[in-house]
Amino acid sequence: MDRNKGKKSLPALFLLALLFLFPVLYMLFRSVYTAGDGISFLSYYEVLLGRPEYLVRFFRSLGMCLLIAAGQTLISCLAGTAFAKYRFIGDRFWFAVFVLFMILPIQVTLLPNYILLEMLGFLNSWKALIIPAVFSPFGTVWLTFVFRAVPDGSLDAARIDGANQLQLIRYIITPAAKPAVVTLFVLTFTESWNMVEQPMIFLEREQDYPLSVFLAAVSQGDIGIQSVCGLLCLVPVTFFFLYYREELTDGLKDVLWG
Amino acid sequence: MGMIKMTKKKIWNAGCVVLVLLLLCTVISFHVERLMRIPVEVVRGSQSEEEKAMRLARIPLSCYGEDPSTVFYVEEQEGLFGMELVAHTKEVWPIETAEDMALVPEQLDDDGLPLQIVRWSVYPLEDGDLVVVQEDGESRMLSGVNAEQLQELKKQLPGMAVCLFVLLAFMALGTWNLFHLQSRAYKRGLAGAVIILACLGILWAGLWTLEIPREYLPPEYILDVKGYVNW
Repeated sequence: MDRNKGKKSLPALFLLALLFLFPVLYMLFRSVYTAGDGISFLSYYEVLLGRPEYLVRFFRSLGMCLLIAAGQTLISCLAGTAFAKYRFIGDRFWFAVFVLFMILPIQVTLLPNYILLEMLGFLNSWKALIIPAVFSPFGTVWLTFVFRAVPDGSLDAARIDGANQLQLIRYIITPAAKPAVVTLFVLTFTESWNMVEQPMIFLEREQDYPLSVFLAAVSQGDIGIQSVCGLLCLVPVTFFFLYYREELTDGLKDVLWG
Repeated sequence: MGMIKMTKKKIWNAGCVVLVLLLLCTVISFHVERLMRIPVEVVRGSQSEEEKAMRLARIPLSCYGEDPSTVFYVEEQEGLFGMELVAHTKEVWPIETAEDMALVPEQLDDDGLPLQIVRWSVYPLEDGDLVVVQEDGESRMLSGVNAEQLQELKKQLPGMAVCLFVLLAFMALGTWNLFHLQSRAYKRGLAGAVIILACLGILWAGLWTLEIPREYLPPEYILDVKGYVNW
């Protein structure tokens, strides 16, 4: 009975999937089809071989986003462990501050960030994008909730075996919450890959813009090149999604349903 | 579980191949752009004292192409890799013409210097084309120096093709080693990455020796087979 019910919903699910995939399919179509010339691969030539600026920006953005994702995951693991497993003066207050900052929209923090980055001399360089993103409170709050579920007994046992604090994080806490840590890495990567407001405000020169912002200025009117660039943008995110599919499912499930 | 691991391995391998191909494209595209820059000869308007006072200048009539009112000028623009020369069009109506020269209103750039107006280019220019100033471009082409250069290059082609084949074989080996990073064979994976980077470095350096005169390349796309056939 249940199986039949599942089969009946298949066409609806298929249509829904098609609806979500439509922009990608359209992009794929427009990357090879232009109204005047018909089927042509000139846009691929232009982006992949004709001019290096697209791919150079792609690799620069990739490097920046990997740095942000790795940095935020590392900081969040350390801070998350502190909030989840240690008691110190004002721990609840500071955690509440983190939660508060997490729920603030990005537009609210842009101005204070700008002033701080100007004081530090980081404006107009990629440090202005990387450093605030690495210390984003989202990861810390996320991992604090996840790490609380790691049994204290296993930590005590490791301590008795002589493990220091960093070894506890490296060998006990992080592996126990691997899906959540991987999920944080992927979500942070995706968020920074799609970053738009920060580069436009913190960077002055168009040459420094990452691919996410540069995409808007790519040969306006040439939809073929824009489509190929769009497809290029999909590559890393699609790779991470497919590669970490299981961890993403488990990680989100752990946090949403415990 | 085994199935998931297998799928992961396939995705990892595909990711590695795509990454290496994109890196290869990046290196090649840099040199394609360099080779495809159109050589131009530029002039600045000449002025007598009287013309200077009247804010007029003389430019060669050859600066005008099919359109009798438009000239191309070269402007330095900041690109991703530093300053690059870009050709732009400008409407400049000649006031009078005499002895292959046209008297035109004085043309200055933002810094108040006379504009570098294109006198000759290998191919017809379009607005926004990347160009390279070659003072003796026309004479090199007409005197056959470029043809000789191409003949020399043709002699080196078999050697270049062999080197390219060896490099690609090594890159394939490097990619194969990179596949093993997924199964935590870190040393092998690292060796693969080093091989790939070394090959890309050699390719990058080697392509600098490739100097094809622009007139022997197609006007728009380096892969334009029709352009080679017509030539």
